[in-house]
Amino acid sequence: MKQTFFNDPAIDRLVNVALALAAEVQLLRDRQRAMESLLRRQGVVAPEHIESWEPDDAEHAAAEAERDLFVRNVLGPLAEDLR
Amino acid sequence: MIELQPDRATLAYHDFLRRAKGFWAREMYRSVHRDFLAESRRNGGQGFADVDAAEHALASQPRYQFFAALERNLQRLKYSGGRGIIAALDAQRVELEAALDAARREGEASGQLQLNPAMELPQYYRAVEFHQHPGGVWSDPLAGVAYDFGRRTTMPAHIDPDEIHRRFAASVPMRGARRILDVGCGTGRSTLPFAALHPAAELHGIDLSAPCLVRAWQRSHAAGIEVRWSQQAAEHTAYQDGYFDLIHSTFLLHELPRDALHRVASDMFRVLAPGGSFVSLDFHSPPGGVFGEFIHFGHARRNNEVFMRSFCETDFLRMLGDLGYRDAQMLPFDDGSGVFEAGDVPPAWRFPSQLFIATK
Repeated sequence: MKQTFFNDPAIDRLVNVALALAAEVQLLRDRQRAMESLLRRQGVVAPEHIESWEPDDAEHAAAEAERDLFVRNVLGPLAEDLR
Repeated sequence: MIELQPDRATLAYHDFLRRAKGFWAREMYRSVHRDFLAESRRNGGQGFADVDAAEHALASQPRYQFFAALERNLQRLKYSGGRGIIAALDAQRVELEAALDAARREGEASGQLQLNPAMELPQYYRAVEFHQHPGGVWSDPLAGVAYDFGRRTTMPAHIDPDEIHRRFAASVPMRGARRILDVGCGTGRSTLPFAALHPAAELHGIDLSAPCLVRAWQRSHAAGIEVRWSQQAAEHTAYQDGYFDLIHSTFLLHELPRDALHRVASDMFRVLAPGGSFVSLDFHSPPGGVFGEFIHFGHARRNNEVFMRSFCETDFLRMLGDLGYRDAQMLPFDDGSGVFEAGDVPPAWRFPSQLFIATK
């Protein structure tokens, strides 16, 4: 059962994009906070090392896949049927 | 008792949804109330004649549009999408199904869990995805696990969903019941608080959903409490006349079309002993006048609660009286956010919980 709430149904889709993006930002912040804290506590990485980081091949492939999934999650509402 | 254990990212995502719902339930709800009052004054100072007139006037207001869109989509995102409950279940499906199947066999062997795979589920139950739960709370063997996880954000964040069940059990005047039935028991969260208050009672719980009943058995087994769980329709149960002295239901009645509601109340009267009590915690008579109805009926529409409005528009006390119940009452229920009389507009979104009590 499709439900829309705005005068222009495009806005319904944009709301869902914004919600999905905001949720992604929150979970990234959560993970990043955990990582940086652990690295700093263990003396592994100083914040300036993050700026100069380059991925190896495996890391690069994993990041590619993750970015694809990110785009599908965030932009999915533009393509899906409104329910 | 096995639970859904989503990864860290999924938990952070659901945490976001919960907080967003908190913002929706307070700030957005209050802004819609201000717009409602402003529109109502514009309407010649007479207020809105009824909820449909209010809906018509507010429908073009952007803040109400955002309120409505968030209400529907925060709940939808909880289940669907890449980080929703359904995706998390699928990631853990093999392990969860094996554990639940083992629990089902153990429960059935104990004699405390009686499922009926041949039972035909009512059409209204199969057709509606209540509160936007994909496939309903019965079609997936993991539906009970999904329900247990999802309920954490069904209520707004300022209301504790476990506390409600304890409050309800404590608010029932009868003590020391001998036989108690929880009708529409779901995963058993509403059933167990009655055990502590009626220690000698024989406890029964019925529901249409086999996956929920397996969870209910797991819950009572883990708590060391004996409950006879069985898959039955509340409209025509297998119990003998006058078997129970206390029958209770939690958030069941608003899910029933009116004819089913009548049949349920009628069969509960049949299986209740003379002098016994029928008590229900459910949503009716929203406080806050037309605004309360506007919010509640809008919620019903946006959250696939298709019989919620018809229940509110049913004179349930009269129905109980016509069926032969005595002293039927509806009392405002404190879900943890306070007690609201008919004229009060609650300061934050809440379900209009009411306590129904009737005697045979």
